[in-house]
Amino acid sequence: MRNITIVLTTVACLLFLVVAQAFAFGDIRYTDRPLNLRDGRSPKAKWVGNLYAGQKVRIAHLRDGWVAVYEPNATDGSEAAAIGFSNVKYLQKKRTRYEPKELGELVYTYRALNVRTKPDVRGRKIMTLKAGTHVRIDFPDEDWTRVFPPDATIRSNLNGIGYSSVKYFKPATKKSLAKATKAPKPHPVQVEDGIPVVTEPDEIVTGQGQVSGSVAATPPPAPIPAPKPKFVTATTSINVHTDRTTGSSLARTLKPGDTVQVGLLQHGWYAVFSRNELVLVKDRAIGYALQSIVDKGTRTASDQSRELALTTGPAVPASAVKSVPKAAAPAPRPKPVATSAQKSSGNGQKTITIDRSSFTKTKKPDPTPNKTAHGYKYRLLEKSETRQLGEPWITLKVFLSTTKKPTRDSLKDFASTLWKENRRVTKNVAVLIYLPGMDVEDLAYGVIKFDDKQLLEIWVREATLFGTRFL
Amino acid sequence: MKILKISLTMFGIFLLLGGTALAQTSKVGFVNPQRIINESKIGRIAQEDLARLGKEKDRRVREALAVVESLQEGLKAQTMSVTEQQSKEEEMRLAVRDYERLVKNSNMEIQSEERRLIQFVMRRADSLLRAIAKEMGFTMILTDPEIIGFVADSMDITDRVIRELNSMM
Repeated sequence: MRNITIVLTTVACLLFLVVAQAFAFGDIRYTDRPLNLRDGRSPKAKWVGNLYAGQKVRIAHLRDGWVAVYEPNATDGSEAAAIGFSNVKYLQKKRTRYEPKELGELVYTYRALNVRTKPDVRGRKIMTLKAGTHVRIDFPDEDWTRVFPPDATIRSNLNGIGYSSVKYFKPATKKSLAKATKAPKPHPVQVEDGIPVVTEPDEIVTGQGQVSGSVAATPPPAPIPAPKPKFVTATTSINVHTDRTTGSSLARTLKPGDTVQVGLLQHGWYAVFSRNELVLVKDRAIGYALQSIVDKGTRTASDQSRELALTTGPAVPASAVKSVPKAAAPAPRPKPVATSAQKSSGNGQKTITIDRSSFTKTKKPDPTPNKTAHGYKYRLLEKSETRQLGEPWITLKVFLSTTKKPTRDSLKDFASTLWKENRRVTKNVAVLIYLPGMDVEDLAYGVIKFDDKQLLEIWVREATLFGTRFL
Repeated sequence: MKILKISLTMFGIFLLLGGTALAQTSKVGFVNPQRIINESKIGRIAQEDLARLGKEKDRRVREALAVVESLQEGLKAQTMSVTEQQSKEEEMRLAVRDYERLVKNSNMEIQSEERRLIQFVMRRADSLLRAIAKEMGFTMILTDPEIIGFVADSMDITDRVIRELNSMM
């Protein structure tokens, strides 16, 4: 009897392995550069999407130097299920670069929403998303957008579920995601016209699921504790980039002998902090450096350097520090009022309710965008020419219609496009970006400045997002 | 004469009564703008914005300084003809001028931005201030801590404004 049990168990294990092998078709590869995806095996075939440098994909059906590309966890290996085709020579077995970019934007619907085959109400209904369902959206097309499963990673039109009207989505928030993790119940999937339909409860879905159109619920992965920051001294020159990509601009080059702190390791990149930085958060980093280069090109800083870091000022040239004394120091506080109260409670004041509707009525509606660049719909509100501090400036006031707060890189790319269209010799250009919900007569969110040759500076005012959905 | 005395007495009584009545309806409040900037969430975000601008300006200044330093090194190290020497010196003079102008302009821009951000925050606080003042029956709100000698707890609405501002985020 025991022998039979052992044999049966062995057979079951073997069968499981065979089935697993059958599902795990093709090979896993990594792109060695940003790569286009096409709908056929030719560079002339229609563009359907793109992969970032270092993106993990599953490939199969090699023919004429081209392969079909799938999501890494794809189970359907048929060529018809491919989400694009790419030249195999750019797909490596080992990752050589890693510059991750999220697919579109993670959003949720605040009401039941149809997903259609075309970006039009006449398109056939594929499925209905229940209120609170999380999906990804990308490839905006007027008022419509392509809808992807929340766990989709590959930015390809062929990877999408269908199209929905963009106005019924709201950006996913920590709250909405936390709500989803509270009750991770299995979500029944209905089939409508042979296509899976998500019928989820109101709790919101995140995490891994299937790529074939249905959405499964699992809690988001637990955060991985980052290694502690360390003091290092450069032994060779090390480039510090403005972002965790080799394509981003240089923030600074560390020279041999420079002591800095490195930490917040992510995607093979360290955040670099000045040696006297006490608050090691992303916003206070000088920039980012590749882990492999930092590990090879630095040594652990001596105790003296560390002590110096805590007792001296910033490790920058004295003249440079002198230039911006106001920035680092908080605004000076005036002398306190002799006996002014500092406590709010316990003074016998009654609680009052403020009617905020009176403030909201004064808000003007957002401008309507009429142009598109870099995937953003925008409207040029004003173009003016002035002189500021003795320099000629062309100022472009732009309203950017977006549901997600643009990243520094996307702002830079977008503003660069406008700069190229408007630049003139010997004149500087300032692009002022306003987001939905902002008062376009007040301070702008993004301020991107160029001279006639290059980008000078990029800066955002987070405070101006007060009262908008972005803050 | 008697009538004049009676009239003056009546006028005095009216003045006293009127003054008392006015004193009963007037209520002066106080709000400390500096505390709003330092202690409210929006104020702190504005300060972080300003720090980021400082960092960005600092980066530009350092780059300009590096240009000056490299030209200085070039002048020291190389053996050049008189014409080349003059050309390099002129180049360096221009680089120094650009650097100095950048430092000056950066400081001015940061100061101006600081004012703009404070005004931005105070405009947001102002709408709340009006509502609170109306609700609590204040006819006047003082905002300059430098001129205030004494403020009773019940008159200082700074904490209330900060709390309301924070609740809007």
